[in-house]
Amino acid sequence: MSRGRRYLLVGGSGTVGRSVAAQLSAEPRTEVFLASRNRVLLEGLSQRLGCETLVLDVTSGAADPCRIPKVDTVVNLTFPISRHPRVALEAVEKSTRFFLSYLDHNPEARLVHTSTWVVMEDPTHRHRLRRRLQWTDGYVLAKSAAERALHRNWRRDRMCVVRLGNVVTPDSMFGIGMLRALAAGTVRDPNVLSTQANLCSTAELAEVLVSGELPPLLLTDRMAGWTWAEALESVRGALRARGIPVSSLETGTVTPSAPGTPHSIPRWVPGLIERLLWLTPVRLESARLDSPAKRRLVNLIKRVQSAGSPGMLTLPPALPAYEPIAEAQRDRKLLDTVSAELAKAFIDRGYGVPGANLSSRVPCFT
Amino acid sequence: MVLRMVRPSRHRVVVVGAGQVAESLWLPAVRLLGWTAVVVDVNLSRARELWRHYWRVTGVSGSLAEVGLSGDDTVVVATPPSSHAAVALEALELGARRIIVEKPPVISRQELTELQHAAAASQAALGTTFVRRGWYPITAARERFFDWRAEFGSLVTAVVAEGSPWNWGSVAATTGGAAALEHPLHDELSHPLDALFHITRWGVPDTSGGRARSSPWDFFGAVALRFGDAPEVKLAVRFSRLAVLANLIGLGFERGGAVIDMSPYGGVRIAGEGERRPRFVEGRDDDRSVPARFADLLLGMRGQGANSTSHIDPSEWAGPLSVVTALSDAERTGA
Repeated sequence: MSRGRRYLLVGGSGTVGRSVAAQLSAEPRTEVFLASRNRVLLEGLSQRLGCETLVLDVTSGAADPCRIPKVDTVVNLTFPISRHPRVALEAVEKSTRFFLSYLDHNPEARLVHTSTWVVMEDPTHRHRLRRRLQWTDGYVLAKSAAERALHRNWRRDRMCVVRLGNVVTPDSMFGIGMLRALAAGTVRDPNVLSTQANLCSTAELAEVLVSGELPPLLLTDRMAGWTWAEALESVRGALRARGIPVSSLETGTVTPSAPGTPHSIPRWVPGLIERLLWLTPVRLESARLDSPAKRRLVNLIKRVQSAGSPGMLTLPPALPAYEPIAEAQRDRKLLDTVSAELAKAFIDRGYGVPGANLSSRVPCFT
Repeated sequence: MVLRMVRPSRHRVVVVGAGQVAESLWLPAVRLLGWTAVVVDVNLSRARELWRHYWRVTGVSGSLAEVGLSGDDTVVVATPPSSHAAVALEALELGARRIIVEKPPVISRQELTELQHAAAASQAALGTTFVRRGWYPITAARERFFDWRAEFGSLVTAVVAEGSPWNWGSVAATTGGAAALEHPLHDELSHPLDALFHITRWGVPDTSGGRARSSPWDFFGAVALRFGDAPEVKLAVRFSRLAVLANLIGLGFERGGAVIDMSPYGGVRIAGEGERRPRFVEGRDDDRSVPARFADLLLGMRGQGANSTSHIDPSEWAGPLSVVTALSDAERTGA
């Protein structure tokens, strides 16, 4: 049964939020409200999409649900970014209380909470929410804490948890990693290219919201079955169609590592770090890192948590190898749509090599 | 003036402007060197905040005149770009003989000329802060540029795109809309423009045909550069606050191209005409912290340190300033 067309995207100025907002705004007879802490981005989105915006911090404890527009579907796209795990968990608890209060004040509204596939440690987790904290790393800890909070306060028929895959947009970490891989013509470990990328498109989330069919728990896996090589080849194809030749990347074979952990390190190490951080004073959250010793310690912690991977900020980028999501689909149409977006970004942002295309003597984005 | 007693240090740095740059870069640099600092800001409460957090800050003041400058002090001008020249000139008048002006050092040719004359008259040392020149991709490109010209022919086009993935600090910090676009032109784009001129060793170009199109969120500009009898180079500049762009400098030669990744651990990729795959100068990790690079600048003002970025002359900004001026003019006239 299709329900209302008023949406409130909390965290709407983020990478996923911006993309979903644009898609929802294009739907007929739809009203989209965007809420976030970043008033500058909100102003830009308001101008571009015509959405109403409001500055809101759901983790502050001071947000008042009575002052928020009444909508049919409120989407939680927020994620607490904190150094200290206790601060992150407190932020999760506050935001959960806010959304529960919003539902209490708006009996017709429903909540869609965005989680992540990474919290699924084993197949049984696919069909139920996390009920315990997962100490893999700070990100997974916060996400599992959110699912646990929702489980404890579940409102039947009024809540839906959508576990996103590795979201790929021109602005997301994975999207930029792919753009850099195409620009460099290589990746740090070519063996990763033959692994399943567990990718996801924001269109999947937008379609769920538009349909109004909100099961308690679902996973966006329609694109997750493509490998990195296949996804990159699809973007190459989109670039070729625009007259931009990009060399192919060489592939190899690899044994993927544990879920959420991009490289083969003992799974208990990042979790141990989080547990140790838990024991430290909360004031570390705002401690200044201006001394060389502090910076070295933080860098060491980050390196251990990322298994020493230089990540996608380096050139060539280090694309991660994950345990594949089981029964993931391979939706060609969705992949083509995402590829076209990335191809456009590749050109617009100047990733191409000037002079490599003889027909293009002008800078890439004129 | 508020004072604090700490163990005397050999050298004192007077930081004018108690903003983010002072807090995150200059004061940590002072701390690294074991020197002391005085923070000057018209907003005394902000200066006091830094004094509370940094033990190396021995005093704060609302006015540079109160500080009692000596020729041994190093003055760092970390105010907004539009006031750089005025503050530097005031420091010279008050007796400073070592002055580092944050980038961009000036926003007009007139300011640059005035500042250079005043520094020369006082026999003062002037420096500025384009520390990205020390990043590996920039140094690698500068080393190889003439080889590229020999291999690929003359430089025909150049592109500069400035964008930082996942860092919205600069976006969130400003709420001025279209009026605030002066900021990215002079401030954020100054780094890649300086890097471009540093790589190519260009002087001051003649500019023509400037075009600019801007909104509160994006800027695109193009200008033709001519250096004497050398072939014209078409330069395009792109900046966006909402979309994540590639941080890059692209060089298009007659028979090939190079793209320099503007990050500390980025690399350079080169492709000649007809080459299927780019050749790749791989990036390397750079553990050197930014405050350490700023410490180099402070040492460089005393003739210490052999780092290539230990002393950057503001006069080298004259070339990129011509580009900024041409783009600003085009934007104002709606070209």
